[in-house]
Amino acid sequence: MAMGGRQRRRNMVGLLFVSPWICGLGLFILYPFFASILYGFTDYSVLRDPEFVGTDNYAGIAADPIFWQSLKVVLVFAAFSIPLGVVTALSLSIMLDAGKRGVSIYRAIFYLPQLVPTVVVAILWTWLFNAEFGLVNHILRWPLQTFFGARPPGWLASTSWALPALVFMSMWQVGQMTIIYLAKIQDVPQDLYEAAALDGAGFWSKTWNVTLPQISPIILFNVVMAIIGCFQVFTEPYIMTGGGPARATHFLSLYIYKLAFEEYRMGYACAVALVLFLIILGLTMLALRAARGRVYYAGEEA
Amino acid sequence: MKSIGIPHLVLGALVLAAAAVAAVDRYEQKHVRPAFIDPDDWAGRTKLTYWEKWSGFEFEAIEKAVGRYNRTQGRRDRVYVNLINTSQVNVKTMIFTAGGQPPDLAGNWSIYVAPFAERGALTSLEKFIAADQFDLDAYVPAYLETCRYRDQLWAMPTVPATTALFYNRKMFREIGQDSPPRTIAELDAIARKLDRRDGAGNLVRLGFLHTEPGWWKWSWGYYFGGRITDGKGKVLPDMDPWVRSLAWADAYASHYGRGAVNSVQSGFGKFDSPQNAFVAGRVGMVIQGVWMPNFINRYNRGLEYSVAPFPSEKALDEPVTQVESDCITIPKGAKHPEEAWKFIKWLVSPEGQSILCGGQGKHMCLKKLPADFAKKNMNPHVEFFHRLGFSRKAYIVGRFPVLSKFRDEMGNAFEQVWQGKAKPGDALEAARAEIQKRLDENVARWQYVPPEQ
Repeated sequence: MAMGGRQRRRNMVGLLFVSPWICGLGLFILYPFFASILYGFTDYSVLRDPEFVGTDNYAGIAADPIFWQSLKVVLVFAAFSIPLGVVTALSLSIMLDAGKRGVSIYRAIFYLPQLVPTVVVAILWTWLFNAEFGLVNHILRWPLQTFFGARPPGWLASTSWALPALVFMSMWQVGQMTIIYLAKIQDVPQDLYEAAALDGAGFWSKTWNVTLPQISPIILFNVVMAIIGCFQVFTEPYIMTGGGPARATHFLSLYIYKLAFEEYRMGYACAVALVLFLIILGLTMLALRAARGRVYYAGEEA
Repeated sequence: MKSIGIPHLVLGALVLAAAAVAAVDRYEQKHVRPAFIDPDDWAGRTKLTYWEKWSGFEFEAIEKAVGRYNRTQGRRDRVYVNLINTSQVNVKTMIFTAGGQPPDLAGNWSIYVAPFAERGALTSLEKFIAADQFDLDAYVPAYLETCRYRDQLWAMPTVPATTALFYNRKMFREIGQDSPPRTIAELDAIARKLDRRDGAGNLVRLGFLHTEPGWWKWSWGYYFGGRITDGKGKVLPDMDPWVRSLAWADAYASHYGRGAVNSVQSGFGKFDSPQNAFVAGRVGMVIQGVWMPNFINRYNRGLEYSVAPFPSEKALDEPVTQVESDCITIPKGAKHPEEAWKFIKWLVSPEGQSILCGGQGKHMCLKKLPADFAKKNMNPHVEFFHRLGFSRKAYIVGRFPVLSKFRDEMGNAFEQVWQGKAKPGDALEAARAEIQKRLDENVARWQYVPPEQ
């Protein structure tokens, strides 16, 4: 059916209102995205015109030890920080839900770190991890020396402890995840808990059989967001370790930055960025596929 | 009467905001920023945009210099320089140059001259120098070299820097040491005597530590006679000096224990803080540059210290030192290159240098320091650092086209050894292979083999 003049005008007004967003999307996301795919096939230093080099950049990536080291770092970080983050946030939200008094205060406290800029968080944690004067070692020193005769680690200066320190630090920002879980948990129908209680279910049984299945879509959402977030970690290693020591915290995003703005190898950096994008896409698809049949959606037919 | 609608309010707010910005700007020009002058005074002049990287006292010195120019020589040149403090100036200049909107002048570091020149991002100064018969002989050759690439001068050094050994004289007195070390072996022996442990055996003071401040992990081989390239395209043509330098560092980490070193190192404060390891008396000897006395004056004025050439493996007649410089460039595509050159000429003149380098507590690029320069300078060792620039053993940082890669790989090799993850020879071989690969690509791309250095 042909669109009436009134309808067309309404559509035009609607388009006019979203046009800033469309322009932003096109200029700042779509154009750079597709341009970077093209630049990935060139030798491009920004200051000179790009030269087409075919798949040389991708062949270079395959034989690039720094790329593989950076990928290893980010995969190890993701392997520990995602499960830890999900479990911690989930546990906190369940505890907050079970709490009777002061829940809103605790909720605000857990969310507060989220409001602190990442740069500030990085500087703050650099001090917390200071081996001699930092709070972390201040707490660890006595038990480690008394019971194990050991010294607390040098954290950010140590190849063994720098990455675990960043994983530990990532727990600082589980507040957002916690609030999302909590919102969903509080949305779980009470009659399900009452029915489970009638069947004699205790706290753990109710959590396992009612809460977790009911909030499974949110768990999946948080896992996907965490995967994306892990592969984009940049500020913390850039400020706290510079990727060291001995590339122990050399994240892929940091490598892309160095290639583009320190070595002026923008074409190669674009190729690495595309590989990073494909890895994130692949892992997200994998997470979605693994979740198929395990996630409960209320609107779906049984 | 027509009522006032939202558009009127928005327009009114914009006008008010613009008026407020203009008022603040005018106030700053008159009362706060010495670089600016009354707008009436620069009417009719060519307005240059000058991006400068520094903040703090270094920027204040640049502001004073620009202000003097705008009030004096700029009037004669019919040029007004608008100074803008710009962080990450190398990245921003690169992006704006690529976009065709570079500033007229960019204050950069000399290590970026080669990569920028290679990619056609800078205006060569050669034609200006030839046209004006500008006297380059007045300048210390090593400082000019920091800005030369492919036999052309792409920038003028504005504030040079050399490095040396800073040592704590009070600590030296404690151990009965009269003179600074001349060789690495002497440095090691003094360092051991300066070490102190507490009752529990924890290190509380170190004589010397390679990772304090840790800015030059990639360059220790120079003090053992190493070169980074042979002028024929080979990287680390003689590996032995570099291997010996890393073995030297490894011996320290092994001696103290790597865990203990990591621990004590991470307890040191930031460079620009009262907890700076040398300033706070936690390390007795450090390698540092001409800027260091500024920070000692700021955080521990009473510190008894002195300076000497950094020791080398064998005692040499000529000191080994690192030469770098702050420099000023005219990006390619700048709108007023001739006027920009007029300002550069003044900035590197004795008058400009006195204000700029004197204000920063550093020495000059000029061979001859003005009579009262050292006396007025807040840095008591400024003449010593100036003399270092004349050393034939000075190594000039920045002329290597893949320097960023070199520093990254060599720094990583150092850390591998320091952390006990690799032996010096293996770590260096891996680094050399990576740098060589990148240099080969660079040579093929730009048809240029860097000279021996």
